[in-house]
Amino acid sequence: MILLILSIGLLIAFLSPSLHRIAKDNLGLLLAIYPLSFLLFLLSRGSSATVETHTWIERFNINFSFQLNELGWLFGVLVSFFAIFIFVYASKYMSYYKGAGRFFLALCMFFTAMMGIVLSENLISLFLFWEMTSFSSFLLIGFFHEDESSRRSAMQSMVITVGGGLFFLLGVLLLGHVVGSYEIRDVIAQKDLLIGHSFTPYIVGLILMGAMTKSAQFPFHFWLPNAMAAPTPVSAFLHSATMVKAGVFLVMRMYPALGWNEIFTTVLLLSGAITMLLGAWRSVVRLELKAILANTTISALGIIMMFLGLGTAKAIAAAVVFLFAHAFYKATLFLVAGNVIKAKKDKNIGNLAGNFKDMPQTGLASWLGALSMAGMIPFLGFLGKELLYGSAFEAGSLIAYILLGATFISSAFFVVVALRFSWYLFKPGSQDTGHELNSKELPFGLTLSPLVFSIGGLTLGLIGSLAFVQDKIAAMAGTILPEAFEKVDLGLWHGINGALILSIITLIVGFLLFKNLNMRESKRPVVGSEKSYFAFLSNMNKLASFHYQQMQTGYLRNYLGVTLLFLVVMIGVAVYIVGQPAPLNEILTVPPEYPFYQQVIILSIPIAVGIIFFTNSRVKAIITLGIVGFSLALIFIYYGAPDVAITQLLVETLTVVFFVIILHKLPEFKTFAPKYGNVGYFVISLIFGLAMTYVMIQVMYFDIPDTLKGYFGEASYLEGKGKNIVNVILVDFRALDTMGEIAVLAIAATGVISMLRLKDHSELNKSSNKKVS
Amino acid sequence: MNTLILCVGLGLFCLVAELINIRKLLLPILLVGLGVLFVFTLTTWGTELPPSIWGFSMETMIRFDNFSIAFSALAIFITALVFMLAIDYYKTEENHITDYASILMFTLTGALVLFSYWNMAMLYLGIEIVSISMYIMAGSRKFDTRSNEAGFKYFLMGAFASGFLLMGIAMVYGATGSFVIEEIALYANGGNLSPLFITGLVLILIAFFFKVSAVPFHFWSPDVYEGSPALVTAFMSTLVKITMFGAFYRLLSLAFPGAISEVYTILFIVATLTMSLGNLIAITQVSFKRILAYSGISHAGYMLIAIMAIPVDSSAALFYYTISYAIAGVGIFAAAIPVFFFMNNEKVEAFNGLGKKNPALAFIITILMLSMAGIPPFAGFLAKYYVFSKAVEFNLYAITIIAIINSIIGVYYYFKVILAMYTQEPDGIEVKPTTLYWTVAIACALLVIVIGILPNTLMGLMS
Repeated sequence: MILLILSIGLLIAFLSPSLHRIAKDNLGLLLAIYPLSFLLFLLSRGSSATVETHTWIERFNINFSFQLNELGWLFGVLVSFFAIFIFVYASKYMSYYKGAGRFFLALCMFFTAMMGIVLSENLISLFLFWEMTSFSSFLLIGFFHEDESSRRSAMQSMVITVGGGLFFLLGVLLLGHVVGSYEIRDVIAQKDLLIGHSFTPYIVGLILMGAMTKSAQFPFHFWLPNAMAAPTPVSAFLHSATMVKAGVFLVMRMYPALGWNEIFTTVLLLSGAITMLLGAWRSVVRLELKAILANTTISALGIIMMFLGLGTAKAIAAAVVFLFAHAFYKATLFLVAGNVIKAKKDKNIGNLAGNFKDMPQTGLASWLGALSMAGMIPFLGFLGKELLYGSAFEAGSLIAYILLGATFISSAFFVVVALRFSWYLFKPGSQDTGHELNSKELPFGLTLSPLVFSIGGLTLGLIGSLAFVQDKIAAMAGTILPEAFEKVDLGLWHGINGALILSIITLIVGFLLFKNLNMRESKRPVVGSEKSYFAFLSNMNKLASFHYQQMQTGYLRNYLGVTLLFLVVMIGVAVYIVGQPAPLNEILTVPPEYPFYQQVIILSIPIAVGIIFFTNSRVKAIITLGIVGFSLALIFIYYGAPDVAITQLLVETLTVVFFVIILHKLPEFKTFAPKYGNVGYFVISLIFGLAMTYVMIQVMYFDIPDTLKGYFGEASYLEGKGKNIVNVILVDFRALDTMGEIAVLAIAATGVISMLRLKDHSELNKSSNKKVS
Repeated sequence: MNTLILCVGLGLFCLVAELINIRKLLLPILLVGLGVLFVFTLTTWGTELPPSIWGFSMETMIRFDNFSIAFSALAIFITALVFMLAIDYYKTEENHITDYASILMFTLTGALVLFSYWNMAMLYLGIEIVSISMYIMAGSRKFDTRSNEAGFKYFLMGAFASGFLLMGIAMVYGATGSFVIEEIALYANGGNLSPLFITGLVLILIAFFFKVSAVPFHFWSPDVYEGSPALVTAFMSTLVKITMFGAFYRLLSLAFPGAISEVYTILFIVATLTMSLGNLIAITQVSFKRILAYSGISHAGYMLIAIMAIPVDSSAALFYYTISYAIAGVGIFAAAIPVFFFMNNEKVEAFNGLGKKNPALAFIITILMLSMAGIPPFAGFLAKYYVFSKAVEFNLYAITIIAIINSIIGVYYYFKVILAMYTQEPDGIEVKPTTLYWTVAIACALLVIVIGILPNTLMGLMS
């Protein structure tokens, strides 16, 4: 059933460009039916433990299996609820732009993929949906902006998230190797197999790579602010409320299987803490509305990861509640930012001071969202922060207190950002802000969704004390950490305790910071991991162009040079493999006893080669090359291989003739190589020649199996009735081959004749040109 | 055996067609012939008939098993697709279509030999048939110096490789006393291998590295791909590459199964270099054909991983990889040749704004590019997955990690083309592919999707 819905979703996605022609600007409203029906389906079905399995690729154990456990179900409800109102918002928003059809294609695809992630039971199918979200995010970031920078950000987010996904896949492969199944419930059931296994650290590391790249955790945090080039609804939906939460979701999902591992929790704690502080600080030194929000998102994700790393029951419940709170207020604020930018045509917060009554509906949403973000009672944000503080207090360890301090700092910065958004952009009353009032409230389509989200945050805060809400949250947290979850206390009032006092202090500190901290842009220096990302890219480019300019020159001689040198390396490896090299000094000390005429032949070969290298005339080169060949032929004759020698002689003759004919037609000789460039080639040839000689010595030193010698020796005499083995082989055993050889020679000779008769083409052309002119 | 004879017959028919002047009917007849050949090949599935010609047994020369039948069917299919493109492609060319057609048919013959040889002599014969045909095709634009240069370069480098192959075969023959695959395998499995044998094997490996354009024996391929006519490049980058890999796999898995561990280091180094360098250089390229050349090099690296995993029987993985690679490759060319033609430009910038000019064509290219990049749910992803999982099964972790990092780099340059299509401004020149180009492009895109989503039958073929 779930698979069916997801497939229909994809179908809808691909139909949306065509639907756009029918529905025009109401396309989003029409398509909102899809997440709406998904939501209704989830609500009617309720959470359950049953698993729906469709076999896909049997041999790999890859199934499309889905479940509706508490965690997945609640995430699913959250995502589809958000999707409905994002679609509604985008419907209006995109009517100002071209390409709505493609936009909704990507958006529907993304929604489907996201639902796939949260409902998947099989890790491989989860990975598939995972990459699909990266891809649709790429489309959404890159497709609607034609400037170079947003294309680059799209590419960056794509490379980092897809890359992280691939590492995740490798982790999953290893995990499957150990556990024998990709179904998450099997992995959880057999987590004992992982304990103490030598693969476990790699599995944990690789899976975390996936989660951390997706959720923009340090050191992969830098792609998220750059992704803000996307249209506002996308920023609100993908880059704050849902997609970036996929990493968090993955950690939660794998928690029962890997939560016991110390590497797992330590990495989460450390990178979460760094991410949180980094994001919080950056959010107050940015002026661009969406950049501010992106950095607070990074910070919030860091908080969630960190508390998951803390790993106590309360910390996990707190992380869950905070996740919900964050989704509601952050989506609100993003849409508010989008509205403000749209109304005032400016995205720098310094130029955007305004009054509440300019845009009352957006303003209301902004205030509600900001209050939740600041953690004001009775918003959901307040509950989240209370629980975070409370769980840190309860854990009581040194680490917990350090985390508490860090959380406190970021929360204070959140207050600053919240106040900037509400107090600065939407000041109550009607003071003169000194800015021209060119803004009017935007149409209802653009104000409805932020209002819904902000009111949602408020409502959830208020109904938090209801038993069924608490049960749901407890059940969800229970799927992450099965031990000891009965209920999560989401009451607004627990009496005066440490958490409450700290909350109040947070608000006060935040307010003071807001008053005293100047709004300024510290030009973001490209540092740390982002710097290394770009350095990596540019170095890759440098390496590539080095290779391209120095090696892929188009000159065959360079290609051969590199290739031959590599061959020498390979020969080295081969010699190493064979082992036990022949005792070279023993072989070389044997004094060569060649008769005089042989010495001449042997010496003439290197001399001829030397001449080839340093001659400036083609004819000389060809003739000396011929000397090499003829000398070889003589050597063959001396060692009793007249047939080979004859072939060699014929081939040499033909080659020389060929060359001379071709040379005759060629223009004058020109040296393209630098004057002493030949020396390099000479050295390379020498090295290669020596290496080949070495190989031949090696090969000949070892006994060559004499099966062939014996067989041919016997058979030539008994069956071929001949005493000269070579001759018998040529005319008897391999008679057809010999005939073939002769035929080849004949064909080659025909070729030579035809070339001799060939008329000069250039002359032909010249003469015809003359006629025309 | 009959397949082979029929194939040669079709090639000869092409030559005669020029004489009896039925040029116009040539390609339709060839397509029908290839269809018959395809069906015929499939009917021999699982039969393993002993090959013979007029009663003479060819058992020590050639054997047809499921491996060779599967690859042969793929090669025939790819050739048919290329011929469909050829009908329109050569309309605008100087007309020697019968020559080209017969050479392509002979290439296919060589490929069929290479998928089923049972003797080193047949291996050499097959490689030379394929190579010599391709030298000619690369230089087939007689008056285009770039094409001449490509053909000549290809020939020189190819001859170099053939030399190594011969030397290697001779050494293996010296050590084992036989050209027949199974007897070589007997020796290779016997342990205590002589240095002559190992040296021979290394030389044969070098020859194959040349033929599959593995780094650092790859230099010819970008130059040749760029200089050759686009259709020939399409043929070279798909059919010839998978042919060489089929032959390579067959050789190592059947003749040298006991010796692979000896040359594992060499395979590792070459595979790593091939993947990394191919990908890296592809990033900086501006010529579309060169990008494909370098991406083809990096794909060769992935396929080398399948070769490394021979001991766990990775034939199905290699087959699946070659299918997804070759089909996506032909599809890309089918969609790109019209772009080259209408824009009169073979660079990436020719694709600027194609998403607005011709959204359907851009969409098809996107699908095929995504498959090449290994993005799910297209066939290219599962192909990589299959190869990687085989590698992990054989405990080849290092090479798998290198391959994954390379897949990430690969994403980068494939998306450069996609971005160019959708985010750059079009320049007003219309791109209108003819029906046949459309047919092939759409068929390939559909196949890439179908194979990616329903892979079970194909993956089950070999086992």
